[in-house]
Formats: sequence, structure tokens, C-alpha cells
Amino acid sequence: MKIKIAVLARGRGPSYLKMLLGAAFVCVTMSTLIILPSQVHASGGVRSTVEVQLPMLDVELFDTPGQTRKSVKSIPGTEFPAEVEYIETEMAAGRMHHIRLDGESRDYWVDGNEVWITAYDGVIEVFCDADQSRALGNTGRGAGGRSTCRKK
Amino acid sequence: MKFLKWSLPAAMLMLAGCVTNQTGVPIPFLSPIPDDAKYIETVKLPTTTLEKAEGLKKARTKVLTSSVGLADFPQLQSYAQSVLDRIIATAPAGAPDAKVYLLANVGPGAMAVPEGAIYIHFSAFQYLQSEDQLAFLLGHEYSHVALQHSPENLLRSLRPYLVTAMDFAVSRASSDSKLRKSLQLYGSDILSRDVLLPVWDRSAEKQADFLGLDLMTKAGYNPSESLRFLAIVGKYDDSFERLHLATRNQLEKQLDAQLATTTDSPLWNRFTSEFRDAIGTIQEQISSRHEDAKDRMVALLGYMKREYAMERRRPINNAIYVKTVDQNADVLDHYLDAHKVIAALQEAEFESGKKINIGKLEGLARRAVSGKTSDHAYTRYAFSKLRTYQGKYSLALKNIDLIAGQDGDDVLPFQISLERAELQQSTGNSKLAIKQMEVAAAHYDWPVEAYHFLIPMLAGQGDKGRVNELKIGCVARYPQQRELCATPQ
Repeated sequence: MKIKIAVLARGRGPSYLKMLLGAAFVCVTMSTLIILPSQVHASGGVRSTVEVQLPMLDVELFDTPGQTRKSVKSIPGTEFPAEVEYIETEMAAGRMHHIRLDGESRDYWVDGNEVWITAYDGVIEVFCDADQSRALGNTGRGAGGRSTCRKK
Repeated sequence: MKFLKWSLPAAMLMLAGCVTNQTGVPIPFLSPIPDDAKYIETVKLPTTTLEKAEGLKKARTKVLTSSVGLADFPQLQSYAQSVLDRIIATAPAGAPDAKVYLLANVGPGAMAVPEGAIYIHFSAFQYLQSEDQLAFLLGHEYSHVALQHSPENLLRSLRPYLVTAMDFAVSRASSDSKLRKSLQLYGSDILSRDVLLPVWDRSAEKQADFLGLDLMTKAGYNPSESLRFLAIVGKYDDSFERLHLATRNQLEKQLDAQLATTTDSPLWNRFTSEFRDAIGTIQEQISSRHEDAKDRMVALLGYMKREYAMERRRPINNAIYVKTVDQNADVLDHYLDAHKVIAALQEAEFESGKKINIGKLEGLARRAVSGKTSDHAYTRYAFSKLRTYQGKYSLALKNIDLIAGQDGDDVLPFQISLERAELQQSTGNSKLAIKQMEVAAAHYDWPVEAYHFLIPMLAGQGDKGRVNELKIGCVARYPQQRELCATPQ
């Protein structure tokens, strides 16, 4: 990156270099601002238990989280693994969890409203003793919009 | 025998027309949900024939009779209203207006009034995660309004039985603690929720689910969040029930003990027999309401996959939701603190040997009445309960006196009026207690508790004329309790 900027700036003076660096800064900042809000949880690869909300139905696995996603395969809810590798959650095209199943090299996306991931959703304990502090999910915003168990 | 216990009252209610298609099984040719189109495209909204102003006033009276009032959170209320307005704007032609109110209750729940009011418990802002989920809650409730559903509210109609039996049970449980124990339950979150929540016919519930989903999707929300809404409410409900399980169990145990004994009074024996049936029906209704969340999810998922495959890929609206809730975190926390105080005191009263940390409750109660919630009914009610528990009746009364009027209404919510009257009686100010209770009773259209409080008080003072008037009024309003109106416990 540095080399490229230096090459572009060669022969154009320090102000041009500053302008390029400024543009790069703005570009990086804007990308971060656009990407971050759409990915609530961007933790990479943690083991997590899973709760299939409707085990009587099949769980569909998709190739991407976006609008053009395609169903890759489906697994009967009762046979869905109890634990997966949880990668992240995408909110920009619906609540989609990015996961990897044991023994498979590729990754999948599942509907986050049909499959709950403990690492994301947390333990549902909405009412709790005031002395205890239990985080609901990674950010304290798992099921239950606000953690009522956090320390004051 | 067990079958008879459950089936007899259910059959009686069915014959009386109180219960319609409760099976949840769609009846061929009668279900209005189309098999190959969106419900919103085929639905014909009924024309409202109701007297709007009168209906809204009656509904408000019912709400303020059974609860400890509204939650005065202007920003959250106007935010919820903006979501509802967005839904109404895209509703079919002829859809009525509706207004959202927040009810001071931690339990899960919401109720719709056909004349155009939706009451949601403030706790919705505790357990929901996104505007889309709030949109489904409001869309569902609004559908009841638009479809002009009128619930046959069994719990509400059974209220007089419940109140009388509670009075009786708590007064026999311990001779010196009637005041404290009864006050622990009147207006409590668990009882208010049970009494106020409408018990919908399942077919009405299904229509509201489907139309609610259509409405929220048409308004631009992600329909998939309806599934998460149902799952979260189910878990929240379980959590709430667990928290109040001890109180509920203890109350049922006391009632059982009282109702099992046959007395010399045929009037009381007849009442207890009717009440047993009523309690059975309540339990049946509650359990039937709790069982169907998964069925509702399955039905909605199938419908969504068929009608809204692409709409399920919309972004989730949670940024403004989270920001608005965060801005109100303090007032929401104060209400939770108040609820913790109320729940702890209830548990201590009804679970023998349960110890409570008064210092901790004092801290919670003080925080509950700090800042913006210093004059709120719910927070002052909690502090008043703590002082009552401590036997500091004058201080308890002071807390009630600090409550501000609600939404232009100078009269306190009825359950708080009742608590105030009991406290005035305990502090030797019976005349004022009678005077203010007469005002509150007239305002709230004479709830049965008002008769139960006033008749013995006035009899004690020798006011035979007024006692007779009240007895006649009680029998006229509550014919199922005519014997007990004549001789209140």
C-alpha cells in the first residue's frame, strides 16, 4: 500500500501525497462504518451450541447471506448438529448466521431466526437475581433486548 | 375424575358460547386465510360500528382497575406509535386509527381494544431486539383492532370469584397479616397480567398473526423477525412464570386448603364449588395459550416461504431501536428495580422461611423513585409496599401521596386507591378511607373489591343505610356473588 501511494505520488509534491493519504483514510473509515453496523457479531470461529427452533422442519443451509443466496442443502431439524463452529452474523439481508459444520471444509449460512447460536443469542435469563451478572450473548444483546442482569 | 374436572367447565363454557374453535385446527371452508395468496389481498375489513369514545373510556377504566397504571415513558410511547403509524399507513382501505399505550407491567403481554387502543407492557422494550420484532407485536395487535375482534375474556369475567376467594384465603391464612398479604397480590404483575390479558379464540389469533405479518412486511419490515419474536416471548414468559412460581403455588395451596374444607355455610360451600370450576378453567386457558407458540411459528414460516421469500432478505432495523431503548435505559431499570422489590416481598409473604434482605430492597426502592420516575405510580407503589411490609404505614401512605396523575387523570389507579384506603384504615383514618374509596369506586364503576372494603367498614361505623345500598349494588353488579355480597368475609 505504502509503495503504491509512493509511486502514485512521485513527482507530484508533498501536498498530493497528503491528499492521497487523506483519501485512503476516508476510504478505510467509510468502509468500516458501512460494514460494521451490518455485522453485529464478527467474532471468528468459536465453538457454540445450537438450538433449532423448529426441529420438526428441515434447516436450510445457504451459500451466502445476501439477497442472491442459494440453498446448498438442507438437514432435518432433529439431525442438525448440537454444536457448530460459529463465525459471524449478518444483519444486512436478514439475520443470517455464518457457521461451519464438523468434518466439513466449507462454511454455510443459516437463518438466525430458525437456528439460535448460543454464542450469539446468549443464555436466556431475563429475570435474575440482582447480585448476579450474566451477559446475554457476546454484546449483552442476545435474546432479551437488554440484559437485566448486568452490574449497575 | 381428572378428565371430568377439566372437561365439565369447558363443556359448560362451550355451551354458553364463551369458547369457540379453540382447537387451532383450521375448519375447511371457514378459514379466511387463502391457500394461494396473501391474506391482506383478500381480507375485507369490517366496518366499525362501535362507539369509539365510549369504548376507549371503558377499556381504559378496565385497565386502570386491574393494574397499577400506565408507564409514563413519552419517548418510548411515541416511538412505538411511529412504528404503528407506519404499519397503518400501508394497511388496506378503511383501516381504523389506533393509539399505543405502555402499561406498567413486567410480564409479557399486550392487549388490543377494538375501538382503537393497543396496550403493550413496557417490558416489550426489555426483551425485544429490533424494530421489526416490535412491528410484528404491534402489527398483530393492530390486526385484532382492524378485524374488530372482541375477546371473550374469561379471566376478567372470573375476576370477582378470584378476588373473593383471595380475600378469604389470605384472611384465614394468618389472622394478623391479612392487610399485608392481600396487598401483596392485588395489582401485582402476575395477577394483573392474568386478569387483563385477553384470551383470544385461536382462529382470531391466527388471523391476527397472518395479517400482522402481512402488514409489517408491507410497511418494509423483515417478516422473519416474527419467528424470533415468538421464540423470545416464549422464553421470557417461562422466565417470568418461574420468578412468580412460588407465589402462584403458595396462593393455590392456600386456596386449595380453604376450598377443601366444607363449612356450615351452604352459601360459602356453593361459592367454593363454583370457584373450583373457575380456577380449573383459568388454568386450562393459560396452558392452552402457552402451548401454541411453536405451532404459530411453523404456520408463519410456511406462509413466509410461500409469500415473502425475498422480503425475508431485507435488513433488520435495530439501530434506532437500540438507540431509543438505550436512551431510556435508566427509567426502564427503575421499573425493573420496582418489580424486584414487589416480587421479593410477594415471595417472602407466600413462602414460609424465605428471608429477604431489607437493606437491598431499600436500595432498589430508593433507586426506583429517583430521577424521572420519582412520581410514577409503579415505582411509588413498590416503595409503599416495602414500607407496608416494614409496618411503617404512614411512610407507605406518603409514597402513595407522591404519585402524579396519569394522562390527565387525577384519580389513582384503582389497586393503588385500594392500598391507600387499607393504609388509611390502619393509621386510624377510617373516615377519609371511606370517603376516598367511594370516589375511586364510582370512578372505576364499582369493582368488587370496593364493596369488600366498604361494606364491613361502614357496618363497623353503624351506617346501616349506606351498607344496605352497597349490598344491593353489589348483588346487582355481581349476581354470581349475591350471597357473599350480603355477608362479606
